[in-house]
Amino acid sequence: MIKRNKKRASMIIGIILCVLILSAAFAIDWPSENGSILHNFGWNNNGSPVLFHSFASEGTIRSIDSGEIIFIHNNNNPASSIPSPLGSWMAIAQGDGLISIYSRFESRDHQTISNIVEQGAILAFSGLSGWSEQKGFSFTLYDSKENRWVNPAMILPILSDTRAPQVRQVLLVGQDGRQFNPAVQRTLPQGQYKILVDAFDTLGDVNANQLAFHRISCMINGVESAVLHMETFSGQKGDLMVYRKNLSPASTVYASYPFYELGKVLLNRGQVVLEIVASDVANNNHNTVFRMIIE
Amino acid sequence: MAKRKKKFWIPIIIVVFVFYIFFAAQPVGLETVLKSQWITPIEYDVSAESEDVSEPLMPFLLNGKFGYIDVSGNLSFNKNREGYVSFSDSRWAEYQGAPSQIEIKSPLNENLFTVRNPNGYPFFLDGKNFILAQNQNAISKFNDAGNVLWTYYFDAPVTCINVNADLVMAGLLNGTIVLLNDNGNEIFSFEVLGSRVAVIYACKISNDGTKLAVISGLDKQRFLLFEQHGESYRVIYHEYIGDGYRRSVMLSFIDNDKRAAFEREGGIGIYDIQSRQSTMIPLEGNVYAMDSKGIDDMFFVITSLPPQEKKLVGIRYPGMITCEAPFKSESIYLNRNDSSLIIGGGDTLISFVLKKR
Repeated sequence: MIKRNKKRASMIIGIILCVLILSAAFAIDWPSENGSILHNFGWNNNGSPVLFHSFASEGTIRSIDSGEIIFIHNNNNPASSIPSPLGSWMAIAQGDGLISIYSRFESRDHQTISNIVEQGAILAFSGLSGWSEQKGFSFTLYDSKENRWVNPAMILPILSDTRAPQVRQVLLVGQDGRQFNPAVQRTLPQGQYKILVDAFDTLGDVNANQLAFHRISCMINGVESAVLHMETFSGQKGDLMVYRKNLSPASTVYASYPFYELGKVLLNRGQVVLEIVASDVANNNHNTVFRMIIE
Repeated sequence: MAKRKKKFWIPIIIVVFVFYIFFAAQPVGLETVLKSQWITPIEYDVSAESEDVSEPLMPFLLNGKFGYIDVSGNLSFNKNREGYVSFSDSRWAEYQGAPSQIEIKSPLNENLFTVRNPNGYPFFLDGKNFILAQNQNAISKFNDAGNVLWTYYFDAPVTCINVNADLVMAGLLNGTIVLLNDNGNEIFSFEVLGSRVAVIYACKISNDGTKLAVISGLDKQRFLLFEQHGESYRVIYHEYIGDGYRRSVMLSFIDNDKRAAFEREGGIGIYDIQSRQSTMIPLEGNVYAMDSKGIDDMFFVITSLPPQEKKLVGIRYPGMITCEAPFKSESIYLNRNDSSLIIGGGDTLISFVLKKR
């Protein structure tokens, strides 16, 4: 009986291992083997969110997964009468409504590429086209079923990263516009405050580019009172929206560059413990705690 | 008896002959010919004095050169293109990849105003100024002082835009068209289904704003025409036009909004809005340029066959090819101004006037 159970357990473990290995073999992969991330999804670009990962890279750009090319724009296309901030770009339908967009690569004729591409197929070459300052390319994920931009970090393999995000500064802005730095000012008047956080993440190396965090929350006396998720952005009734506690206009969240506005909190009289928790996609967390007296 | 039968036929033949000559004959129609008007080389930079040119001035972009030329062939200016260029009949701008500001200039090369922190690229349509955001998900309208008047964020990346009759139309990667009024408010949107893949590849607004034309989808690609119906628009015609191109496609309202012309697999389609007849004109090669006016009963197209073969094709409505002129050039330019046709190839712009004889 015990031998039979052991045999069954080994079989189950073996099957699970096979499934994992097979999944790894066919899993989504990064679009470039080399290069560094310049800006990532959600980064505050002078008051506007970045909706893509931009890479500084050389060489080939590969399809992250198999799919069908549904749109190609080459900067030399005479049919296009509008400028192209995406530069030369290509959209590939991956299935289930997910569209990957490779952009700002080298402008060249793509007619030799098949309409159906396999994972890892060479799509283009790193270049300098559209809104970019450095040779490389940009990568965007779009969900056409939910009509929203998706953070590529949510489906791309997680890179090795043991460094938690950094919080440079936190500001509380009162309804009268007065700003308070809780790091130096421990006594605040009672009232409603906007929480502004200047935070960034890096990929391991202390000298690496500053990137957007994945999630940042504000806890007041242990209760989550404000939060900002860098998972999706969507256009709704003419506004670009991002998730805080609810869908909020990105213009509000990003207006106070380089800060991100997490939301508004009500500080009542008494002792307050304000905690800012910044997380990256690798689940590294950074906590910053402020103790204040509210009068 | 046989002789009588023969005599009977002869008068009938004479009557028919006389009738045909005097009553059934039609006069030979006038044919349209292209008469060369002027030739202007653009090999060298030009910075002309303003009194040498007269309005209207037409922008051209050819072989790495950019500038404005008037209907007499005088250049307002001609320079090397050094970056991205956006232009219209009344203004232009040249900029690099990620500019912190963009200078807007007149066709006489005078500074008009500056747009600071554009966060996108400008385009000028219908006499107005717009910016397409760097994420290619939003359009902003700005005034002649460079101040943003409004911004509209779409729910998908933008694949095509047209502005006409105080309306702004965007086609999106998710197969939706969105129509905004001059204040940036959405007045109409439509998800174009009916194809296996839903993407908008071209969109156009008629000059009077009462009609919208769209090329959408893959497998099969469709041409759709919408007509204004109260506060909204409804589809009045659609046609499947082949498996489809996976790129921006040429589309125009021509002949004073009486027809729509569009690029389709194997040639050009021309749809007559009044008669609701669609004609497919087979053409060799890809359509490289299309006459955006198509007036005076003639419509011109330039096709391209690699490596550098180009062909000017003149089409008389509803769809008869009346002239074909092959030439060699890597890049080309085509513009129509009333009865003049301006064609550019290599380092030369040539104007033809259309005459009937």
